[in-house]
Order: sequence, then structure tokens, then C-alpha cells
Amino acid sequence: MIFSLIIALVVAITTWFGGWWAAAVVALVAGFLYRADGGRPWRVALGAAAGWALLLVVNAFSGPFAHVASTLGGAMSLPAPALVLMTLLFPALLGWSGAIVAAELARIGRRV
Amino acid sequence: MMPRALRLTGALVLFAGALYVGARRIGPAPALGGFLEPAHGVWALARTAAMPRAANAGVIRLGAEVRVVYDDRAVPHIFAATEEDAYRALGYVVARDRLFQLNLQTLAASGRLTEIAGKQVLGLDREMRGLGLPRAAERSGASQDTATFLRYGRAYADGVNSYIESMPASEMPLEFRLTGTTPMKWSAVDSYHLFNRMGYTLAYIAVETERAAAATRVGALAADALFPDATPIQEPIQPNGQKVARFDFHPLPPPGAADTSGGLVIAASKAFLGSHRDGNTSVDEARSLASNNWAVAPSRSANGHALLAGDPHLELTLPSIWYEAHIVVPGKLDVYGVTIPGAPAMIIGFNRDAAWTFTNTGADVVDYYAEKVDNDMRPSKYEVDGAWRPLEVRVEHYLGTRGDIIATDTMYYTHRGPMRHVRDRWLSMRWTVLEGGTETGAFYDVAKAKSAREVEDAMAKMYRAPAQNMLAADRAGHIAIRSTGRYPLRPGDGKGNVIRDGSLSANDWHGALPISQYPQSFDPAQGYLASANQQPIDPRDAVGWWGGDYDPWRALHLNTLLRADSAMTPETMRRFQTDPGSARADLFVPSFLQAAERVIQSGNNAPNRNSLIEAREILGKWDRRYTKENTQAVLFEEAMRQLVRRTWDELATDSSGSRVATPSTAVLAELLADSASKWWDDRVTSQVEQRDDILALSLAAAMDRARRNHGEPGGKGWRWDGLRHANINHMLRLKALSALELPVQGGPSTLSPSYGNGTESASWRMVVDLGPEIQAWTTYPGGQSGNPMSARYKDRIPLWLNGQLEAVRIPRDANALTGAQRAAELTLRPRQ
Repeated sequence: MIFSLIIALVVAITTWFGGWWAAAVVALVAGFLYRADGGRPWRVALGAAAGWALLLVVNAFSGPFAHVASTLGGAMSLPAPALVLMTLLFPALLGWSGAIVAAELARIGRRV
Repeated sequence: MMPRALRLTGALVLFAGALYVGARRIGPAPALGGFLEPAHGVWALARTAAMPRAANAGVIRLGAEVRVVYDDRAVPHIFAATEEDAYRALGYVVARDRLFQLNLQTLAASGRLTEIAGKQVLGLDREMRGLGLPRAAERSGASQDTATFLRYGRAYADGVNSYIESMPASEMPLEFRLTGTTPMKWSAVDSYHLFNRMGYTLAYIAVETERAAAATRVGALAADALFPDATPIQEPIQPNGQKVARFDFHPLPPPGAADTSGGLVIAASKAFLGSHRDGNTSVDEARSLASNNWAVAPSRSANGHALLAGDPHLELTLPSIWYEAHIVVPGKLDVYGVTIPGAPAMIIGFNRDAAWTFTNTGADVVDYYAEKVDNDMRPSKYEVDGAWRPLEVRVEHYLGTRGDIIATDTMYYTHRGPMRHVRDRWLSMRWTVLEGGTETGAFYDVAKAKSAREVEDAMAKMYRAPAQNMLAADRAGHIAIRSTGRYPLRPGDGKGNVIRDGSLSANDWHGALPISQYPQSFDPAQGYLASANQQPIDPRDAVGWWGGDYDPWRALHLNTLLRADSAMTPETMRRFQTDPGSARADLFVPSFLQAAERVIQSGNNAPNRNSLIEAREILGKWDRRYTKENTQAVLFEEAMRQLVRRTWDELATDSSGSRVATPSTAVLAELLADSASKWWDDRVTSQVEQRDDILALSLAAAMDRARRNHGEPGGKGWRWDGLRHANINHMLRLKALSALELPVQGGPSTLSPSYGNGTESASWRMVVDLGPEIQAWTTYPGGQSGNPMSARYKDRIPLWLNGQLEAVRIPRDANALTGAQRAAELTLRPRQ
């Protein structure tokens, strides 16, 4: 849990300063560091999603989040909750797959 | 080993896939990474939806600090030390609120829409460039390099570009994110593109094309009568001394033998201005739409001040075409009003002494010439007076969304304008819109005018196209109007409805109508002035006037209202703007009722006799006002449609009701005076119908149709607000960002017309009281912010729908607004 929380904080901060790809980089780094543990892909995924969720909460406290969600959903022909879900699934996917890729490649590299 | 390999492969594919969709657009879907990312992506728009209470920004070439105070209506009040700084600040605040609109309008006007929308909009871009509009803008910019107004235009560009350069990623407008585009750098020439686009919208009159199209069915004599230069109902803008409208009704010549000699005129119009010629319905609608303005002198106002009202009617969009602002340069400039994003000037508004507003004039300012060229396939020269002149050749490249060239056109220009191959001929076009470019300068001078006379003179000096009926009033109690623009003087009869021989310079325009001959009036004895796009000058008074194709109904009604009230107030001015009365209904309803009565009394046992009786009852109860709750207007409008279809069957292209051209309802009214005209006869029946037969048939058929479409009479389906709506589309036609199906008061030919698909209406409403201290009330259908997430995106629409206005704040200095009146402040500082 603490691991995921740390990942969430790191993802939130690096995303704020670096952009969306920060989630991928954090996943790769975490996967590499915890390669012995298989990269902890699920926990990285959870952390990445939580990191972006944290940023969503910041937005929600700073402006008309529900209005933004419904307007965006309308503009993209999607229900607003689906858009929120997509926003959380995207970093989760990056986190899960990135952690595995880094861990597995590190294992292969070590053998070679 | 196998499961691990599979796991790696699966993860690699997913990781690569996620990176790909994160970084690249797939079809219409944006690149998801940057789009969804909550720190700077679309979700960040929640953080930037509201303006910060206080903000600072740097602007390039700014001479001194500029304070911008936003009031509680989100209107920026700009306080600057110099005019150049003021226009820099205007560029900055407009970009801050309307950046995507600035971009899209400019791309549309300069024929570059393909750069964001690809091949699907190539036709639109080709039309813009084929008309020579981008070329004209570039030439204007180059030729007026040292003009004061271009200096201000550059200052405005500085402001726009400063915002673009300093804009945080979180403020990037939604539309850029959705389209995957970025804001383009602004230049002063872009403002010329914008004015040219307005000219394209407003300065093309199709009457000669309509006339030529009608002649192909009913002959030239009849076509001339169906599409006259002078409307048969005269209530001109320049008062003609009459106390009521004059009906110059004459019998129409009967349909004659087809005359196809005008085919080239039709083809030319279609070739050059294709989207203006996309069916007779649009022309018919255009006649009913457009703008109103009026002013009353102190002698006719309750408070003894001059009053002025204006409501220009244009396409309704979100964000709105207008942006409200106030500019103060102490001792030099204090102007309030609306600007068009991209126009470095206030277009409609007032200062501390005078107010002004416009309606479209609509004169014929476009001509075609048949050119003789050296090589029909690859022309390089054209002949004038026996000598060859070189053609200007310009190659137009159209770029796709990735910057690649998707199409190329070679354009030719004579000294008259663009030249195109039409029906085996080379035709060139001359159009005043292509010879403008000084309009912005006129607006700078108007902003400083001390009187109505100065407003008119400033406009007459520099304003060329699109010609506008410019109404002004001042604090001294003067009112004035002038139809200002450039009206070409042509050889011969002066008309521009034929294709002239381009090989003779004698056929060229030989100047422009002198200002003294423009339709105009200053402090008329009647104590008021009104324009609603009607013919500006009585043909009996005109030395020469050509064109004008709008219906006279709004003008008739407006003049009736103004004549009836000699103690006008700002409140009555406001109410007039959405008055539901209709001169068209006042004229046609009695004709329907009388015809129905006669046919019923005649004992005619037509199969739809019962429908006719019922329709007569319903229509007879109507007060002829298009209020939201009325249930009779639907019957009348259907009856009018039936009447038009049955009367002008000679012009029909097929049985679906479409026609080669449709005469105005003013001509239809003229026909009512001739009960036995051959035009009444329905060609498909064996008997010969007369006026009353057709009126009664139309009314009965309308009854049947209305019942079929809307249910039982008087029911919910017949309520006007259930049928007539305003539709305010987002610029990208995104439904979620639009305001659709809005019930409105008004119908075809009311002062606030509701017609067709409801996408055109009053784009701005303003009432100004020119007392010792100017007061004004305004609104428009939208909001100040172009950010769909902002509470200011469409907050004014409810007010607009109800015909209400808000009092505007006109502070004299940056500290005058306090407390709740002051919503935010932006300080602009010089940036190197």
C-alpha cells in the first residue's frame, strides 16, 4: 500500500512538471528497481492511476470539475464517468505494462 | 520460460500501444496522453475556467503598464497610456478569451481550413482563394504599410502573440486539443482576412442571378418584374417625406417564352460564389433575415435625449462573433462596444459623445467581364483596347493537416480581379470587397468622434466594403444615417446585371458614387431614423441605385412602431427589438381571410371545403403576433409556403417545390392587387385559377398539412415555441458545446426574425441613451469566454432569449469599479 502511495505521489509530481509520459518513465524505473519482485506491476498500476486521480482531485477543488466532465464527455460522445475511467486506466496501463517490461528486460539483461 | 516470454511480449505490446495512443492521434481521436493528463490536459480546463482575481503578464513592445479591469459581466476595461498600448492590450485579452475563434476565423477567411480539417473542406478553401480574398488581404497589408491603422493592427498582433507565447499549457483551449492543432502566430494581415470575410458574407447580392435564372423559365420581361431593382413597397431608409409606406403596385407582365441568354451570368455566379448559390431557400431566407437599427431625436424621447438601438443579425455561433470591451486612453480615447475577435478596433458601440451601429446595405457591387486571352488553355495575357496586358499568375497551395500539399490551383488575375474559366469563356470578376482595406482606419476615427456627423464623415472617408447603413446619434441630440460604402459607377445604364466585354476599358468602372449621392439623412423632420436593410433610398429620389434584395416587412413594422410613439424610452427601444408583430402577416392574413370568405360564400363544394372553413376560423382569431404561446402562426406560415409554391409554379424545377428562383414576398404582395393575373393560374389543372382560388386552396392545404404534422389545432404541437427555435452552433458544430433548440419569440419578418434552421438572428443588441452621461444596455447570444468550461461561455443566452438587456458599466478610470462590480484585474507589463 505504501509502495503504491509513493508511486502515486511520484507520478503526480512528475506528471505535473513533466507531462503524461512521466507515468511511463516512473513505471519503467519502478519495474527495474523491483525486478526481483517481478516489477510489482499491479501496485505500480494502482499507484499511477492514483497519481492521476490525485491530480484530478486538485482540478476538482479548483474549478467546475463536474461541468468539465459532462461537457468533455458530450464533446467526445462519451458518458462523463467513462472519460474519468479512461483517464485513470491510461496511466494504470502504462504503469502495469511498463513495470513488467522493465523487470523482464532487466532479468534478460542480467542473464546475458 | 514460456509464460515469462508471453508476459513480456504481452506487456511490451500493451506498453508500446499505450505510448502510441498517448502520443499520436488516431483518426479524429486526440493523442490520449497529453489530452487526458490531468495536470495540463483537458481536465486542467477546470482550473482555468474562471479568471484569476489578479494576474500579471508581459506583452512585447508595450510602452507602459496597462491595467485591465474585468467587471461582473466579464467585460474587460482597458486603461492604457497610448492608443498603441491599448490595442496591444485588446489583442491580448481577446486572445485570452477567444484564441481558437481567432484561429478558425482567420483560417476560414484565408482559405486555409484544410490545415486543420483536411480534404473535406478543400471546396471552401478553393472558393475563398478563387475569389481572390487572401490575395486582396495581403495586398492591402503591403500597400498600407505605413498607415496609422496598420500600426495599431501590428500592436494588436503583438498582444495576441504575447498571449500565445506565454500561455500555460493548462490554458490551451479545448478545441485545439480536440483537433490536435496549435495556435498560429498572428499578423496584422490576418485582420484584413477577417474584414474580407465579412465582405464575403455581406456584400454579395444575387438579384441579377435570380433574375437570369427566372428568365430561363418565364422570359426576361417577366423576370425583370419578378426581381425588380426597386421594391414595390417603399419605406426607404432616407426619409422620403411620406407618413406611411408607399405601395408601388403594378400588374406583373405574364410569363413569357424562356430566355436563356443570362445563362452565363448564372454560371459565373456559381463559379465564383458557389456557396452563396446553394439553392433558392437560402436566398429566400436571406431576404427575411439581417439587421435593424433606429434612433430617435430628443423631440421623440420621453427624457429629451437622443436614443439609439441596434441589433445586427448574423450567423449565431458559440463563441459569439462579438466580444464586448471598453478602451480608455486618457485624453485621447474612451470607447465602449463590441469588436470581432481578430479586428483590432471597436466595430459597434459608443464613446462619451456619440453612439453608432450598422445594418447591411446590400447594393450590387460585383460585376463580371468576358476577357479575351492569348491562349485559351494557358493564358498569360489578356486584351484591353487592342493591347495585350500580362495576367498576374498566382499558384495556390493547399496544405493538409500534416503540412503536406494536398492540392494546387493556378489562379489568374486581370486588373479587375480574379479570372476563371466558365462555360468555355474566361470571365473576370470585379468586386468592391477586393478593393477595400482601409475599413479599420475608419473605426479608429469613429471611436474618437464627437458627434453623429463626425461618425458619418469618418466612415465615409475610409470605409468601402461591405456597404453599411451607418446610424449615429450624439449627446447634442443629433441623429444621422448614411449608407456608406463604395458604389461603382458603371458605363451605360449603370447597372451591373450583365456580363460586360472586358476587351474594352470603356466598360470598366469609372469611379464611385460621390458621397453626396449616398442615401443619407441628418436630423430629419420626422424625428427618427430607422433601417432594417430595406432599400435605402426611394427610387423617385435616387440619382442611381442598384440592388437591395431584402424584404421590406421589418422596416414597415419598425416605422409603424416608431410613428406611433413620440415619447420613446430606452425600455421601449429594447422592447421593439423583439416585438412579435409582423407587417407581412398584417398584409397577407386579411387576403387569406377574404379569399376564404369569398370561396366559401360562392358555394364551391371543393373536397377541402371543411378544412378551409376551419382554417378561416383559426386564422381569424390570430392577433398576428409571433408570441411563443400562439397556436395560429404555424397555420399562417404553412399557408404562405403553399401560396408561394402554387403561385410561382412557373419557376418550379420539379414537383418537390424547389424553384430556379423565388420572388420576394413583397412582389407576391404586389401580385395580390391583381386578382386575375395569369401568374395565379395553376398550370397543372384544366381550369384557370384566380387569386382567391389559389389563396383559398393554399389555406385549406395548409390546414390539412398542419393537422398532419402537428396534431389537432390549438394543441401543444401548434405552439410556436415548440416549432421555432434558435440554434447556436459551436464553431466546430459540436453538439455538446452548442446551445440548440432554444424557444424564441418572433417569426419570419418580425424585427427579431426566426426563420429556416434558426442559425441566424440578432448577434448583438444594444440600446444607448445619449444623455449628459451616456448609459447603455446590451447583450448577445453567448458569453465573453470562448472556454466551454467557463461559466461565461454562454451565460448571456437566457437574457437574450427573453429579449432582456443588461446595463453596462462605463468606468472612467481603473479604480472606478469596486466591490462586486470588479471581477478580476490583469496587469500587462512591457516584456523584452
